[in-house]
Amino acid sequence: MSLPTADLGHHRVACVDVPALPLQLVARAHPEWADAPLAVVEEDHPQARILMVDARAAEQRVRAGMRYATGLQVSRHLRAAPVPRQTLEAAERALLVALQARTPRVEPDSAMPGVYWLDPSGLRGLFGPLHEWALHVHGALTTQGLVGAVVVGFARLPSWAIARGTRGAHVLASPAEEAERAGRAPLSRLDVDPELRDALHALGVTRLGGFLRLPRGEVGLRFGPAARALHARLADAMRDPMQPAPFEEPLAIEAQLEPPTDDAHRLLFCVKGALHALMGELRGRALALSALTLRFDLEPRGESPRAHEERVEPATATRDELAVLELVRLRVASVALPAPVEQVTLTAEPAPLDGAQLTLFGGRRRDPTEAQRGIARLRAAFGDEAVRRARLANGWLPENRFRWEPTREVDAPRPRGDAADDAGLVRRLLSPPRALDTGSDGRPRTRPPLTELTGPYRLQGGWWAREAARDYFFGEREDGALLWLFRDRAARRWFVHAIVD
Amino acid sequence: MAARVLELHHWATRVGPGLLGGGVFRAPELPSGRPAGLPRGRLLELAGGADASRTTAAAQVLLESQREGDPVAWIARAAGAEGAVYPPDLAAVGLDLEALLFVEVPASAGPAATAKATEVLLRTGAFGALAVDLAGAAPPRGDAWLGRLATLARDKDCRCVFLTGEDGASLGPLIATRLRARRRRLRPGRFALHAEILKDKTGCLPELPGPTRYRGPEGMP
Repeated sequence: MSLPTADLGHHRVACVDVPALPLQLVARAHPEWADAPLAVVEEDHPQARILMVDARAAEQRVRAGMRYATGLQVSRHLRAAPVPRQTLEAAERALLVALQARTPRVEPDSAMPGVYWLDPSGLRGLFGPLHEWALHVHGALTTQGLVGAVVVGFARLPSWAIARGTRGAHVLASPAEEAERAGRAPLSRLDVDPELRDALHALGVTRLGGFLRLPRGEVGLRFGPAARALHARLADAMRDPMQPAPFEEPLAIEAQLEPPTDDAHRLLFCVKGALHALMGELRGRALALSALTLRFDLEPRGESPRAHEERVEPATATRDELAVLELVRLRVASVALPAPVEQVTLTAEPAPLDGAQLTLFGGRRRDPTEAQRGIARLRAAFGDEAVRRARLANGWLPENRFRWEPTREVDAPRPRGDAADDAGLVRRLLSPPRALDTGSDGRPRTRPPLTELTGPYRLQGGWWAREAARDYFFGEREDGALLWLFRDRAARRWFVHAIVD
Repeated sequence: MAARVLELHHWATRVGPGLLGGGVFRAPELPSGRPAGLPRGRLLELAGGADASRTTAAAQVLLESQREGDPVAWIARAAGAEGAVYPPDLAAVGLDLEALLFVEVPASAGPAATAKATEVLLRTGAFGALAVDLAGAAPPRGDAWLGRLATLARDKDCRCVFLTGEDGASLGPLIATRLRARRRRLRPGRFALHAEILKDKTGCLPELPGPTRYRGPEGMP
């Protein structure tokens, strides 16, 4: 088996490789860490697991899988930050849009984040020769503050193998050059499973060329089907047609209001007409509405802002105008505009229509899609943060033992077995804790006064950021109220943190 | 068996005494180890003052509905002087937080907004129980909102539990059951919850679901 040296008609393909994109995002967000070893952690916590390290951190023996606190012991100068999924997706989307400005056919690799396949054909008239185009594409990376390589070759994976070992823009002259350069790529750079890499190393196979010279059937027999699939992929034997990402063009429509008004009914009437036109456009493109942004351009009035934006999201992508209009009505009713509106701009975020199977014999007794619709209405009426779920978290302090997450759905409950014989009482947390006066005897003063104070048990944590040391007590008031109090050891003050109810 | 008894209990409360022989209807006897809970499809009110345990009692009502396989929701105004329910304690009670929706109505939205949020969720028919936390907040004026909620609760077979303060009268005549949940200390760290029936229009004696004995929260000696 050898690298492909011939290609029908020498069809070109370009590979854009942005290695270790999460690490690059961390470096981009923290330019002050330019000289420090860097790592990506799963969350902002000293015990968070390290997901990825840069070369400098790797040299200092910091490894992915370590806890950040351990990494810090290994390398005193280690700097780390989490990269939330939304940040990563936003960066990928921005990169995709930038690349789509250089060629309309861009396919993000589904298996390798940060790798994009581009079709450079037919662009000579716009960008000139191929190397000029490749420089334009590379410019798209550098303007976003990212480091990577652009290789214009003849086959996907060999181009990627070359891109992994280089920076800048390169145009390969012939398939033979591509095969020769890709064959020299070390396997250690190609995200090969470490176990397979070590096994190949024991056989003296350290480069891609050597690996591809092994018979694929034998690779499958000896190292398993995953290795065989990798072999086929790297040999570019399984060549799928390019599947370019669709262009995300926002659909927008403007409506003028003459004279300007802040009357909700007139606004809604105006939105209704615009929405009808917008939904018609979506229908024409065989799409549905996943979210609608309303921009209200306001009449100039003193220091008040010139525009106000609202965003409503139906429970699922829909073409139901009335349902969307109802969400707009709820949102508009909850907003107080500081000045009359001159113009409304509706921007639709399109999505494919959900092709859920209709049920023949009726739905479930409690229909989750109905719950989603109700939640969408509440979000429209009270804001996106108003409907949420609680997630338990590992925090030392009571207020850090859970966090709120906005939600668009609610699950069916999972059975938890039979009830415990003695369940616990439930507290109502005061946020922030309510300060109390301290009496001359050092005890907290409440009204009515406390009759009993039991405790303490101490909670101490946050030494890595802002240390908190609290002595917690349960206090019973004369009127029977049961309070959960703490004494802040640093501030030497008493606080009520919760009421047991 | 317990489930069948519950079904009978529920059915009987909806049919009413008149269809059962014209005499005074007596609630079916329930197994001693298994409290009946509160009837579905009704508006319930849990009142109480400083020594009450309304939140604990409401959590037990939600748990009862989750055991029946239904998602539940907790609707409250933005946290005020009474504080907001503490989710780790709800999880400790046994509630599945994934199936528990929290709706926080902005304080600026006015008293009717809480009723509006309740109505929206009831109308979906996707919830088995709603806890509407009115503690420390003024209820909306009039009875029209209660009428809508009562009809929806009945149609959607949903328990709708209002948590109110001790002061004042019931929220309205459409409240089927009004209980005062009192907490009594048995010994250090151990409590009993006692429900005093202030009003009952269901035809059978309602009981708070859940255990009769409670332990104090984590850290209580």
